[in-house]
Amino acid sequence: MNLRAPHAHEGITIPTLMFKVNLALLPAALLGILQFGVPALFLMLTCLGTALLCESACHRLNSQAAGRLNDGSALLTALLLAMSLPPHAPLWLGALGTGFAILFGKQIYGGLGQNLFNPAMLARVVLLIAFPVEMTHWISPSDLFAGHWYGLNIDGISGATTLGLHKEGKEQFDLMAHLTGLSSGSLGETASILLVLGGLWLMQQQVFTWHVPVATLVCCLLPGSLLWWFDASAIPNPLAQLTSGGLLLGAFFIATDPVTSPTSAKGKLWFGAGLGFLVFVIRAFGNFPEGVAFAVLIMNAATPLIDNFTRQTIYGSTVAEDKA
Amino acid sequence: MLKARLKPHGGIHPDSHKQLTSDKPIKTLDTPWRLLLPLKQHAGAPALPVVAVGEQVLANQLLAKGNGRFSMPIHSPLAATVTAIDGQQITLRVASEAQRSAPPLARNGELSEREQMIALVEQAGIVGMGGAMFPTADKLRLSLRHSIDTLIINGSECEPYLTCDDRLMQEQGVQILGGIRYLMQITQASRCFIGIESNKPDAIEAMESVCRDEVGIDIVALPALYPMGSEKQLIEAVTGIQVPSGKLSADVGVLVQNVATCIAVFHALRFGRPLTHRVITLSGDALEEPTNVYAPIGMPISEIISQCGGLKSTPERIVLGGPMMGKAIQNIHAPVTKGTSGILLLTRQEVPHPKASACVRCGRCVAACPMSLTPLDLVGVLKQDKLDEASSLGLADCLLCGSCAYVCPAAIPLTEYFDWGKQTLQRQRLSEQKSERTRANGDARRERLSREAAEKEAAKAAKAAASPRRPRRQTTEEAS
Repeated sequence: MNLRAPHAHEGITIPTLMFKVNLALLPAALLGILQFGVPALFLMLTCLGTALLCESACHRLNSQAAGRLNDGSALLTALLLAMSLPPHAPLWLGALGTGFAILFGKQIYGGLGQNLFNPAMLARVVLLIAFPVEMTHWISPSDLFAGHWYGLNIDGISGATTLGLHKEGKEQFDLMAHLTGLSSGSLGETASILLVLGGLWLMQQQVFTWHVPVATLVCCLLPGSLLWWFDASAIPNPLAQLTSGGLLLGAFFIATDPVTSPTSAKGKLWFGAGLGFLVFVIRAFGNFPEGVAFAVLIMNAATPLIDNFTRQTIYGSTVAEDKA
Repeated sequence: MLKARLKPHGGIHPDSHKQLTSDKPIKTLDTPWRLLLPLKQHAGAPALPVVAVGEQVLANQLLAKGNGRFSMPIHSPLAATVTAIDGQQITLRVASEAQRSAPPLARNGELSEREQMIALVEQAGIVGMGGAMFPTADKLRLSLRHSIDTLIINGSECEPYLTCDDRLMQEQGVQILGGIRYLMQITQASRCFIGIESNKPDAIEAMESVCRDEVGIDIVALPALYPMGSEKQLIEAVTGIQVPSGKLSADVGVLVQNVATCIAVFHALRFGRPLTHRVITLSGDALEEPTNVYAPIGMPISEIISQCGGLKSTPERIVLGGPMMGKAIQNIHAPVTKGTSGILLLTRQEVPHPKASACVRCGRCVAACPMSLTPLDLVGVLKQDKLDEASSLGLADCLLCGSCAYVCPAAIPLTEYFDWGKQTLQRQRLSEQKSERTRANGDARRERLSREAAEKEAAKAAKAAASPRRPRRQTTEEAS
C-alpha cells in the first residue's frame, strides 16, 4: 500500500476518462446507426468485438503490456474507427481495420500510452490506401425512422459526400441536413450537432481542454474562409467545411487523444493549429476530398518535437538567467 | 485589504474539508501524564540531551541543546521527571503536583539589539511551524547579510483540513501583530504583508481590524489555490517577483514567516518563553469531534484524541500534517512535534484508492505543476536513472507539493519518484563535495610534502653553501 503523500486524489482515473469519451460519442454513433441501418450496426459491433478480442490476445501474449482490457481505450479506438468508416463498409473491412489499429497501432508499441500514432486514424489510412473502392462507397442516409432500420435493407442508395462532390466540381450543400446527420459521409461524422455537444460536454467534464479543438477549427476555417472568399470554386463554403467531413469528429474526439498529442497548453495550441491548417491544405489542394486522418498522423509524428519546443519555463529560471 | 498581484501558475483545488473544524475554537487540553520529545524537531542534526534520567525538570527548562548547524534546543513543556532518554527522544513523566516554571530566557547584553533578539529566538528553539521545521533564527540571520524590504506573514493555510492558522488569526491576532512588530524590527523590513487565502473571510476580517491603524502592514487576499502557502508561490502572488532558481527569498529582499511562528517569536521576545506548545488541527471523519487544540509538544496523539471525544471508527490512515504533504504514521501513540500542524484520522472513504496504470501523457500534471515543471518527462528519465537529465529538467526545483500526483488519472506515484530523485541528487552532491574535499586535501598534502622536501633541500644547500668547511676541503683537494 502506498503510504506516501499526497493522501488525496482528484478521483479522475483513466477508465472514467475513457468511459466519458465513449459516452460522448455514443449519441452520434447511434444516430449514424439509425440513419444508415442494420449494416452500420453490424459494422460497429464487428469493430468493437474485434478490438476486445485483439486486446485480450495481446494482454495474454505480453504480460507487460500497459493498460487493462476493461479500461475502455480499445473500445474507444474501435468506436472511432467505425465512426470514420463508410456506413455500409463490408464487415471484414471493419474487422481488418480494427485488428490493425489494436495490433499495429497500439499493442506493438507496448500498449496504452505507448503509441506514437492515433491507432484509429492509422488503420483508417491503411484501409483507404489498400481498399480505395470499399472505403469511398458512400450511402445516402434514409429519412429518419423510415429507412433500413425497419426494412433491414442491406443495399443502400449510393450518394457522394459534399466534399467529394465539390472535388468533382458539383455544388450541393444543405446546412440542416449536415447539422442533423441527414448528409452522406462516414458512419459517425454526419451528426454535427451531436458531435459538438459531446465535445462541449467533455470539456465541461475536464476530459480535455479547449486548446486543441479551438486551434484546429480556427486554423482550418480561417484560411478556408479566406480562400472561399477569393475563389468560391476552390473550396466549399465555410459552413460546409465545418459540418461536412471529419473535421468536427477529428477536432473534438481524435486530435484530443492525450497519448498522441502534446502535453503543455502551448504545445496543444501548436498541434491543433498545424492539424487544422493541414486539413485545409489537403481539402483545398490535395487529390483527396478529405484529409483529417492524414493530417492527424502527420501532426502525431510532430508531437515529440512540439513537446520539446514548447516545454514550460520553469519558475525562477528566467530570472536566474537575467541575473547571470 | 489588497489583492494578490497575480495568480501563480498551475496549482489545484482539492476539497478543503475545512468546514469540519473552521468554526471550532482552540481548545486547551488537560495535562497529559507523559510526554515524548523527539530530539530531531528541526532541519539539522538531533539535539543533545542536557538532562539525565531521573532528573526533575521544570516547565520551560532546557532538555536538549542544539547540535551544530540548523539544530535547535528543546525545552520541557511541563514540570516533569525524566524517565528515559534514547537516541531518538526524551520521555517525561509529568509531575502531578503544582507546575513550576524555569526562569524566562535572558537576553545576551553583549550583542547588538538585532542579534540579541535573534539569539533569543534561537534559545527559544523556534522553528518554522508551517511544517518545514527550518530554524527561524537561521532564517532571520539572513536579514543581517541581505537587505530585506518585505516581510510576508503566511496565513494562507492551503492544505485541506487544516484550520489551526485560521483560528489563530481569528483568536490571537494581537499576538500575531506583536510578533510582526518584533520581526520587522529584526529584519528592518519597511513593509509587511499578511497573505490569507480568500476562503478564510473571518480571518481576513479579524486581521484587518487588528492591523487597521498599523502603518506598513497590509492584508493580502490570496486566491484559494494549493500550494498557495509554498514560499515561492506566496512571494510571487504578493509581490509579483519570482525567486530565482537556486536562490533564497532573502536574495530578492523578502522574508516569509508563518503566523504560528510569529506568535512563538512574540512569546519568546516579550516573555522569554521557549516554544513548548502549539495549536494543532485534529480532523478527519474517523474522529468523533474534530477540533483545534492547544497541546504541549511531545503529547502522544492517542491522548489528544481521547481528550477530544475519541474515535468514531478505525482510521484507515493517520497523517501528521495536511493530506497533500503530510506524513502517514503507523503508531497512534507517536508524539506531536513543533512542526505538526494537523493530525488527520482518515476513513477509508477519505483516502484515495486509485489503481496505478500507464501514463497516457494527458498533461494534467504539466498544467498542475506550480513550478511549471514537466512531471511526466521527469518520471520518464527518473525511471531510467538518468539523474543528470532529470536535473536539467528542473528536478531540484520540485517542491514535492503533490499537485501532479493529485491530478494524475493514471495514479502514478509521481511525488515518490521526485522525492527519491531529489534525495539521490542530494546524496550525489554531498559525496561529490566530499570527494572534492578529499582530493583538495590530497593535493594540498602532496603540495605541502613537495614544498617541505624542496625547503629541506634548499636549507641543506644553503647550509652547505654557508658552511666554511666544504670550500676549504675543496681547496685542500685542489691543492693536493
